[in-house]
Amino acid sequence: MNIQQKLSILADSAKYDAACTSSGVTRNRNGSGTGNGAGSGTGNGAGSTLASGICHSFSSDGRCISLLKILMTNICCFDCKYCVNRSSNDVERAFFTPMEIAELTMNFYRRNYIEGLFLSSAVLKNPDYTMELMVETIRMLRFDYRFAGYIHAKSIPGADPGLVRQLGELTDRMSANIELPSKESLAKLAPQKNYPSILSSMAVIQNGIQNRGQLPSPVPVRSNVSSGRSFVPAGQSTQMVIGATPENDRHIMTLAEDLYRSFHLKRIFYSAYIPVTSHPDLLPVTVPPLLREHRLYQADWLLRFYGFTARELLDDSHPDLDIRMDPKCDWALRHLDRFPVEINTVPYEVLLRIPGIGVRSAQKIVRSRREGLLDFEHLRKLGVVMKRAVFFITCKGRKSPGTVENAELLRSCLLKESDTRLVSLSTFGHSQGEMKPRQLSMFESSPENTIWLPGREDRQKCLTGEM
Amino acid sequence: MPDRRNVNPDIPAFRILDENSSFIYLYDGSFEGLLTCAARSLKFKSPPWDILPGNTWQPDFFHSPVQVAPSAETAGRFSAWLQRRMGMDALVKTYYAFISGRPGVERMLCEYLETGISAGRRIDDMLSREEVHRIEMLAMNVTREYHKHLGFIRFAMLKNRDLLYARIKPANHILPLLAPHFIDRLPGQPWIIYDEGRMLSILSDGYRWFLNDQIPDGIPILKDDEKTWQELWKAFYRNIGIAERENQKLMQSLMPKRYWKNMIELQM
Repeated sequence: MNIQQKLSILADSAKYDAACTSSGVTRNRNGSGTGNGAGSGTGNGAGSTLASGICHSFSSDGRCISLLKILMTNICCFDCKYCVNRSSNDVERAFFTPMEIAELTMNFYRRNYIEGLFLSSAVLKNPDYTMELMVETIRMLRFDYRFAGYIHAKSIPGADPGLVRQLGELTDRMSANIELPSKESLAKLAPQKNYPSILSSMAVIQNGIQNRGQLPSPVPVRSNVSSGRSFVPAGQSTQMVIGATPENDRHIMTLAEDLYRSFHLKRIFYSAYIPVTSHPDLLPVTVPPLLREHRLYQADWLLRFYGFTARELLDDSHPDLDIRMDPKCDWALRHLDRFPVEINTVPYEVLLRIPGIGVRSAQKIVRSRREGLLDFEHLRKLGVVMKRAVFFITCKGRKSPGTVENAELLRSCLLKESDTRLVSLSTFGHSQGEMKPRQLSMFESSPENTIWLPGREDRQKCLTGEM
Repeated sequence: MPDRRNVNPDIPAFRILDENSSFIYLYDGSFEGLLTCAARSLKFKSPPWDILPGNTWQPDFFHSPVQVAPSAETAGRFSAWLQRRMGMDALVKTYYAFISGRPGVERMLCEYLETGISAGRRIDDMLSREEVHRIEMLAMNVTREYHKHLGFIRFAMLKNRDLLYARIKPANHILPLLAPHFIDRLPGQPWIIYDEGRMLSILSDGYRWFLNDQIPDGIPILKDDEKTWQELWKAFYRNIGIAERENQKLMQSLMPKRYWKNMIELQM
């Protein structure tokens, strides 16, 4: 098998991993960076990283390509039912040697195709054996090839903590995938994996992160100032499959909140389940629940950057995110007593809770209102999405003309705003085969009798986990 | 020293342009040249009607042209003064907006600087003012294109001394912004980035760089195994997309078609 065939197979089987970010570390020739990586300056090394991350291309599904995302091998001894590489599946198998991976990474990197490497693997023989090979590969890249670019490595579930630590000292980011949103689902679908071992890998990584800088660095640093031992400087992330098992959104967001809180994760990736197989334990899905995935990402952002808690967004009477509108809008509609708010006086935390205002525009509002009172026209310039925000704000004590007060009416206005008419079901079939397009009435706003289709904005964005 | 908080930017204490003036400044089209003009206008307190690049200027009946030669020393001193006065961020935005090359950008910049000189560092917060907002937008547009190019540039290795060679066609003149990044990324590696639209290139030996306006002659000859790496990259690109999630529209909005010509994975 030649290298191109191998690359095709092992990229193809790595593609379901959502993470492809190269962000979180800055490292450059001045030696001021905090990242992991062999130094250079001698001419044969290569590499820098940028905190904001760099997208090098976008794949046909609209996801950012930042890293050479491959599996070391897809030969697997596990039989996880949701996974395309499970041992009982009949697919072509391949294996990269450490040298092949290092050569590919260096040559792609030099030509500016990629920002670094994302190395994952199926479980070859056993978790420890697989991890040893991964450590060997990354060690070769860092030391023999003097590669200082970004490396993200996956921790193999059930591997020895010592190996997890070794890998952590060589990489910028690590992730241990939690795979499914509950213990029971995991036991059912991935019998060889278990929650305690995944969580203990996360704890090992987190422990390493907290104690970094305590020991001298095993990696030669470019600068003459030794920065001490570094450990996954870009933090850790995880991923779970959405829609293969029956957990509701409330369960998922509560889990996410716990994970952010206890392991200080940088990111959780939600991956809409794509049927790679049929199995009696899996829910019957024909089309990936992409819109649900999109809403979960939106809610995730609300947890991390907007000061919301999972309990505020979802509760017993409201266990799933409203698929028809973004979670912040939905929250605001259920708390109309808190609105409208005066743009020129309310604190930043309140600004963040207004639909149509994001972190960036909230910051701009805070800055520019120091220099004079803001009006609706100013807000538009600052990047506020007025068609949503207008219902929830006043400027200099005035409401914008033409806004509505009635809750039901408001809900239909916001739904209508998501552009209900011009969508064809074929381009966006999310399992609602029974839905037939018909005229939307302003006064039918309950989910049962409203024909709702995702708006243009959502349709475009929900297909990316990159956001 | 006047109390800056009380300065009203609506009545700038400093005028760079004056609509009643009978002359215009012509400069050489460089940032240095523009700063020299602005500094001169402030120094002699005789503001011109406008500042225009000499090569695009059309004579008109009402304004007499005055050629201003760029002075590195004047421009240097003036930019240091601007930095103290209105802060580094505002100065960087001035430069970014300038390299957008938008027609009439000189007038926009002069209005921005007038406000900045009066208001000082507060200019960064004055986003609701038209002259500030305009420059912020231009600077953001340049920043975005620059950032996209950090990823979208595709080097090919040439037979000649393993030189890396890339072609781009950006809307803004971002070449000078790109250089430091690639020197950091590939220390010691010589490379060339050629801007097809402006017929300018930057050359680097991996440590230093300079801008070159000589049009390279001859077609660059690729190294023997270059095609192999390109094919491998294409194979990776083909396989990394998930068919069930296909979304060409989103892909194109993030990676506009005008950039595809120079990206090998999109040449199927």
